[in-house]
Amino acid sequence: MSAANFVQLLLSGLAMGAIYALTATGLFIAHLATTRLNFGQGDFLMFAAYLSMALLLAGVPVALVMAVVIVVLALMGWGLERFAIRPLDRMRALVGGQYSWILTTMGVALIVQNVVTLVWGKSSQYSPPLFSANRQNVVQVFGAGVFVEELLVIVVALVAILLFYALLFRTRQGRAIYAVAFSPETAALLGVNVRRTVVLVFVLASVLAALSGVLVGPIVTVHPFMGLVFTVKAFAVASLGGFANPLGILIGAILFGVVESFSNYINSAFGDLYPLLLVLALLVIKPSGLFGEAKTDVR
Amino acid sequence: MFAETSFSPWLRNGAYVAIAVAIALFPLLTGNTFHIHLAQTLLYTTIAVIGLNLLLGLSGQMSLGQAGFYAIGAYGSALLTAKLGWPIAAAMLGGIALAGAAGCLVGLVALRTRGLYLAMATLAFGFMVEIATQRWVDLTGGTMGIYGIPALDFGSSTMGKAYFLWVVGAVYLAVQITSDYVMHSRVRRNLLALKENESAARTAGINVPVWRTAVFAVSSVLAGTAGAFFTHQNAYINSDAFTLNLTLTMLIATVIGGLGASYGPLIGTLITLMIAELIASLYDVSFLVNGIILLTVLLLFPQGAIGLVQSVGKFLFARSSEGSETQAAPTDRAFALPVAPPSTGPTLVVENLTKRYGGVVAVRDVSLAIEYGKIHALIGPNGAGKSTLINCVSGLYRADSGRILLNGKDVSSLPAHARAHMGLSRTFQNLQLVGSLTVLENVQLGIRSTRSMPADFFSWLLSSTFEVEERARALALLQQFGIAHLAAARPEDLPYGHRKLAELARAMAEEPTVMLLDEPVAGLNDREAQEIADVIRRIRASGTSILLVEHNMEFVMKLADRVTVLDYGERIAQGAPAEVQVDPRVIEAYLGGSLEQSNSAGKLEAAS
Amino acid sequence: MIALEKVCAGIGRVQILRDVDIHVDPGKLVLVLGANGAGKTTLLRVISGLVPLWSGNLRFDSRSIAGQPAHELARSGLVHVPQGRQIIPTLTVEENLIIGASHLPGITQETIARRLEAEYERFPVLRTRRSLAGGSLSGGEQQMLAVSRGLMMGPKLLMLDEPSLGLAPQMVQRILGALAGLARSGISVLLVEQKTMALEIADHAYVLKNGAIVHAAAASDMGDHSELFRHYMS
Repeated sequence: MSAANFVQLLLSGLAMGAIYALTATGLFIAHLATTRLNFGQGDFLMFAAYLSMALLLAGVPVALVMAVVIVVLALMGWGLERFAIRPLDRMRALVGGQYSWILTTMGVALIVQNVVTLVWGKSSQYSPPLFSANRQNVVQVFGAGVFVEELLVIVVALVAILLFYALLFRTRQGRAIYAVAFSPETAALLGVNVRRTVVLVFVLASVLAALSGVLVGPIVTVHPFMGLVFTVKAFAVASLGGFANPLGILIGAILFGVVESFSNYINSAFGDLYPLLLVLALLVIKPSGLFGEAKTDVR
Repeated sequence: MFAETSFSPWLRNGAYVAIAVAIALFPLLTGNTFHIHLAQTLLYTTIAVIGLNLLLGLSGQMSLGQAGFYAIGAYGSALLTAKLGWPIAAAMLGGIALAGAAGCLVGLVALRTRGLYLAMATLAFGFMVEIATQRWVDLTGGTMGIYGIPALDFGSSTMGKAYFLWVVGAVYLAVQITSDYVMHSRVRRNLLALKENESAARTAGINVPVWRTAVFAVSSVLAGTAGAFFTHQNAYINSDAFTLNLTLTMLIATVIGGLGASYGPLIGTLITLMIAELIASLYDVSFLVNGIILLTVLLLFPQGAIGLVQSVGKFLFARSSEGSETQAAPTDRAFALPVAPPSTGPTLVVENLTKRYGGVVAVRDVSLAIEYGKIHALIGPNGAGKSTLINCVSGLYRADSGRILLNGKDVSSLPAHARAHMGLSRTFQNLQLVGSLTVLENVQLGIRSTRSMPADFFSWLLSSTFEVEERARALALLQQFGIAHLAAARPEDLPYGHRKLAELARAMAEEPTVMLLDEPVAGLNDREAQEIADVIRRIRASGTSILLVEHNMEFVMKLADRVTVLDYGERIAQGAPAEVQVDPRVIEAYLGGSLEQSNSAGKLEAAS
Repeated sequence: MIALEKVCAGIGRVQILRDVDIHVDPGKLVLVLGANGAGKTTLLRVISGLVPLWSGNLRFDSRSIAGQPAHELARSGLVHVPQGRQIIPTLTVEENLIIGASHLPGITQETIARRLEAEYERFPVLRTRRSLAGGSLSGGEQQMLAVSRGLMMGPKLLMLDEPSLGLAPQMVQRILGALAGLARSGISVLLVEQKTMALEIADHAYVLKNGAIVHAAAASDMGDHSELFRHYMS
C-alpha cells in the first residue's frame, strides 16, 4: 500500500467515522433519556440524504438545504415520539410485549422507505456535492489526492458533534436530559418537564440523522435501502461506548470508520462486515462496551 | 389470551384430526396448483412464525434476525442437495441443524444481553446473513441464485405438489401440537415466569440461562425448517428472498395472530399471506402497507386478531365458560401442608457472611442459624443490610466471604435455582407473581414435576388426567390459605392481601425446608396481616423453617421465635423477641443517638 | 404553608396512607416520625405530585394542588429532597446545584450566582468539590448537596425524606443544624425521619404508623424515648 493510498483510506475512514458518530450519537441521546431509540435512525438518515439531494438538484443554496432538512427531520422526530412511541405507554396489554416500540419505530422506517421509493425510485443515485463544484474535486494532502468533499464532511461533522456536546454538557437542556436519564422522578422534582425532555431527545436524534444524511449524500451512493446499514453500524458504534459515554462513541465511531475503510481495501467483497463482526464478538465478551461503565443488572 | 385450556384432550385432538383431514383432502379437492402452492407457503411459514411466537410471546426475547436462520436453513439444504448430492431429507435436516447451530450461537449473545441489545444483535446477525447471501457469490450464487436444487415431489410431476403439501402439513401439525403442549404445560409457566422476572424465576428453581438459550435454538430451528421447505418448494433460491422484510413479515404475522396464542401463528400468517396476495398488484407500496399494518396492530389492536375475536366472543357469550377448568379439579381429597422431614440440627446456617458493593460494606460478618420449624426474624432500620442478606442467602447475590449451609450442605457457591431445588424458597417484598398466569398456575409454578418432558408431553396429548394431580395439589394449598375461590383469577385482579397469600402458596408448593419471607405484610391492613400471620404459623407447624424480614414490629414480635437485629450491616443483637425489644443498642439503632444523650432535652444549637 | 386533610393515597391498588392530617405553618419545622414501612416516603411523594391523591385535600400556600404535575409544583416553591439524595452522578457538584434553579421561570443568571454563593457559604465543602462528579461525593457531602440543590430552587416549603439515612451522627447534627437555620429564616420545613434526633430542632411532630397519624404534639411534648419506641415496636 502506497503512502498516498494510506492517506486516502484514512481520510475516507475518518469521514465515514464522523458520519457514524453523528448517527450513533442520535441513538445514544434517545437511549440515554428514555432507554428507547429509533430503529429507523438509518432510514431517517436516508430520507434526509434524499431530501437534501432533491433540494440541491433544484438549485437551493446549501445553507438553506441544511435548514430545511433539519426542520423536516425534527418534525419527523417529534411525530415519531408522539404517535409511534408515547401511545404504547398508556396500553396495558402490548402485542409486541415490552419492546413494542422496536416494532413501531421499524414500522415507521418501512413507511419512510416506501415513500422514498415512490418519490425518487429504487435505483442508486448520486447526490451533488455540497461544498465544491464537482464531486470529484481533489486536493493534495501529503502527496495524496483527497476528495475535498470528504475533508469538509469530516470538518462539518466534527463541528456538529462538538456543538452537540456543548449543548449536552453546557446548557440547561443538556442537564435536564442527564437528570431524566438518571431518574425521571428526580428530574420532575427539580422542575424539569420530563415529557418535553423526552420529545426533545427524539427531535435531537432526528436532527442528528438529518445532519448525517445531508453530509453522507455526496460521499456515498444514495439508495432507499441504505438505512439499515447505518442503523446497524451506528448501533455497533454506540455499543462500543456502552451507550453511556459520548466521547467513547466518538472514538469508537472514528476507529470503526477507519478500520472499515482499510478492511474494505483489503477485501472488497466483505470488508465492511469485518468491523461489525469484531464489535459483535467484543460485545459477547464485554457487554458494557469498550468505554462504557459496567452496569449491574440488579432488580 | 394465552390459555385456552378448557378443551378436553379429545376435543382438542379432534381439531388436529380435522386439520389433518383438511390438509389431506385439500390438494385432491382443488385442482388449482396455485392454491396448493399458497397452502404450502402458509404451512411452512407458519412453522417459522410459531418459533417466533414462542420466542417473543413466551420468553419475551425480541429477534430481528429470523430471516437469517431461515436463510441458513434454505441455503444449507440447497447446497447439500445441489452441490454435494445429498438426498433431500438428509439435506433438509442438515440445513435445519445449521440454523439451529447458528441459533445456539446467537442464543449465547442473548444470555449476555437483554431487550434492546438483543434486538440489535439479531438485527445485525440477519443483516450479515443477508449480505453473505448477496455477495458470497461462489457459494450462494448471489442474486443469480442456485440452480439444480431438487424439488420435494417424490419424482411425481402430477402429484408432486400434493405430496409436498402433505409433508409440510405433517411437519406443521407436529410443530403445532408441540407448540400447543408448550402453551399448556409447565414449559409455558416457566417461560412466562422468566420473561416477567428473572430473579423471581431463579429463586423458584428455574435454570434461566438454559431456558433462554433453548427457546432461542428452538425458534431458529423452526425458522430453518421453513427455509428448507422454501428451498425445495421452488427448487431455486436467490438472495432476494432473505431480507429484513422477511423478518418483519414474520413479526407482523406474529403480532396479528396475537402474541402467545395457540393458533395465532396460523391465523396471523394466513392474514399476512392474504394481504400479500391482495396487494401483489400494488407491489410498489408493499412496505408502506406493511408499515401501516404494523403500526395499526400495535397501536390500535394490542391483543392481535385472536384477541379481537376473543373480546367479541366474550361480549357475545358473556363469560359462560370461565373457570370451568379449575372447577374440574377434585377438591374433596384432604391435603395437608406438606410436612418437612424433622431434623435435629439447624436447617439454615449463615456463617460470617460479608457482602460489599464497591467500597461499601453492606453486610459485615453476620452469622445466624435457624432451627427446624422455627421463625427467625431479621430486623433493622432502613439500609441495615437485610435485603442484601436475604438476597445472598437465596443466591441472587454472591457473598464475598462466609458460608451458607442448607440442611447441613454448603450451598455458598450454588446458583439460586439449585438452592431452590435443595429446599429453599422465598417470597418477594414487591410481589413477584406472574401476571399473565392465573393464581392456580402461579402456584403450579412451584410444584416440581417428576415426569420427564416426553412423558409429560404424552400425558398432555393422550391422558384426560394431565396435571390433574398437580392442579389438585395447588388448589389444596390455596384452600389451606383460604383463597381457593380465586384460583382462576389473574393476580392483578386480587386484593393485595390475597396476592400475598397466593405468593406464599406458590413458595409453599416447592415443599421447602427453609422459606425466606421478605416483608410479607408490607402494605397490608391489620386484618390482612392477621391472616398472613395465621398462615405463617401453619407453615411453621408443618416443619418449615422461616427467615422473616419485616418492618411491622407488632407482627414480628408476635410471631418470631428468635430475632436478629442488623444495623449498618452488622449484627447488633440476637435473641428472643422480648430481649431484643429492650436492648439499648436496638433502641439506639432505631431512634438514633444514645439514650442519655437524647434524653437530655437541651435544644441543639444551629451549627451554621 | 401546606395542609393535608384526610389524605388517602397508595401505590397501584395498595393503600398506604389513611386519612392523614398534617399542617405546616409558615416558617415552622415540622417532623413526621415513623418506623420504616410506615408510609413516610409515600406521604412526601403525594405532596410533591409523584403519587396520585386518592381522596382528601392538599393545599399549598392556601390553594389546592391535587393533580398538579410534579415539575410545576417544584417550580412553584414546593421542593422535595428525595430519599437517598438522588444526586445525579454524571453531573458535577455545581451542575447538580444549578439544574433545579435553572428551570425556574424567569430566573436570572445573577440570582442563580447569588444563590450558588449562599449555598457555598452554607456548606463550604461543596465549594471545594464544585467541579467533581456528584457521584464521587461521600454520603454526607451528597446529603448537603441535596439540601443545597433544593434550596437553590428558592423553596417556600422544603420537604426532606430521611436526610439522616446512612450518615454518622456528627454529620446528621450538621444537616439538622442547617435545617434549623432555614426555619428561622422563614422557610417552612417538613422533615420525615425514623430517628428522633430531629425532635430537638422541630416545632411540631407527628408519629406515622401503618399509614395513619397515631400521635401529634408540640415537639417538646412528644414524650420520652420509651413511649416513642413503643409506637415503632408494637
